[in-house]
Amino acid sequence: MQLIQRMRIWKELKRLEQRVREEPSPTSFVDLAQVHINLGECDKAVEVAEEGLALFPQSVELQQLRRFAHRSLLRNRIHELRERIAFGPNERLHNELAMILLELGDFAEARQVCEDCLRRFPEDPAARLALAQALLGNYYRDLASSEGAEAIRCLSQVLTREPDSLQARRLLAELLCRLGAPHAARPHLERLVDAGEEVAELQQMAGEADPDGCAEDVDRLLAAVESGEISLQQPRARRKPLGNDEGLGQIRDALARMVDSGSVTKAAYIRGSKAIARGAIRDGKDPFLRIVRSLAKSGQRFARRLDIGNFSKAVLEGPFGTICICSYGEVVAAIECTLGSDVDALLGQLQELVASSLLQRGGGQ
Amino acid sequence: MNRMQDTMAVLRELGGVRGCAVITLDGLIVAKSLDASFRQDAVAALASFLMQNTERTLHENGMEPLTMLVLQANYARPSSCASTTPTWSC
Repeated sequence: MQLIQRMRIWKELKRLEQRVREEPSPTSFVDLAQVHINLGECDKAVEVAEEGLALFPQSVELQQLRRFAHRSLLRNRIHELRERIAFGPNERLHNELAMILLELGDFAEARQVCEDCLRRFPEDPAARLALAQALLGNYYRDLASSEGAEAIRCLSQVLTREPDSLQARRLLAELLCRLGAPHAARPHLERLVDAGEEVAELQQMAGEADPDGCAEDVDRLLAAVESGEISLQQPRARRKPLGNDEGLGQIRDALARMVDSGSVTKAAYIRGSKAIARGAIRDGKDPFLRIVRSLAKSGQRFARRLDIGNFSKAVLEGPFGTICICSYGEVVAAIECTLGSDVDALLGQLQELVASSLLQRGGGQ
Repeated sequence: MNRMQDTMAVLRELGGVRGCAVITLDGLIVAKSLDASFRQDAVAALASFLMQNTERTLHENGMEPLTMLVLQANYARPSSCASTTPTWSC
């Protein structure tokens, strides 16, 4: 990098650091962390994002940025570990690499690393456990019965060699409970209880399983899950909160009221990849939804790069009518109305809708 | 060009207007009158990006080209009016 370029970046960094101190906001922290990422200083980007999250714990942008910077750090570490393994392979390096790959959700690669490690060091217990975790990750993603059976076999092997491995026992018990095989899970749950482990959630899942499962056949259950005949039980922590439906009902009502007002032809509330729609919207690929998503994204980018704060609203007019958008973080509410409608009033209603939905989630920045 | 500059001068006299420019869809500045806080190359590039992106999305979804786009952010409200080629931002 040239000296002048370095000095420019240094000056920009100083300006952003000062802005973070003087006007702390999610945007100022994101901008500073972004410069660190562009400079390849992911560790500093993580630090900045964490500082920002301490002040604005609900900021979706900061959470995404921290996740991105952390993943970039892990990718750099993977590169480093692969180079070191090429020069002098050992169990510790293989295991660290496998754990990072598991954290990144790259189960296929993690499996390969573990198998490679077990070929070189067949007695390594950590590699066998990591292999079981990779197989389990694959199974929970694809629900392929062969992978489920392989995961169970691998976990059983770990427990045969190391009966005191609580992690392997918990993983096996969880899989059996989620499959609906409480009798097969019971000895593992008992061992976990004896070891003082917290298993209330697993015991509840086992209790909720079909009582006729006395003659439970794990292979048959795996096949039934794969064919969609039965579904895997979800741990309670991953289930949707009960209050969510009530909030969604209010959003649906608000959208329906806007459509009923006459001038609005389409209305939608979008959060991430999900959308609630009212009016003349055919399906998830409706042009209106695509345009709203695209404009909200480019509007956010535009506002951030031009340093004019966070994008909040947009009005798009054309022969097709008027599209009004109100956005906050990952939440977007939008309507399409006829030309000549009272755009300010409609934008006010959209803002109300977005704000109340964020309050219900306990969100906001 | 003079008429364009005259119109911009009138616009700049309106309360709260921090800058205006005529920019082609591919990001070339035809005329401008911007506050010192704006970097003209950044404004041109970003306005062009926004308009091209929106036009492309409308076209891909079988809709007619836009006639006006207004954005609102915490500290500013950039508006764009588009005819066939030039883009007007202020």
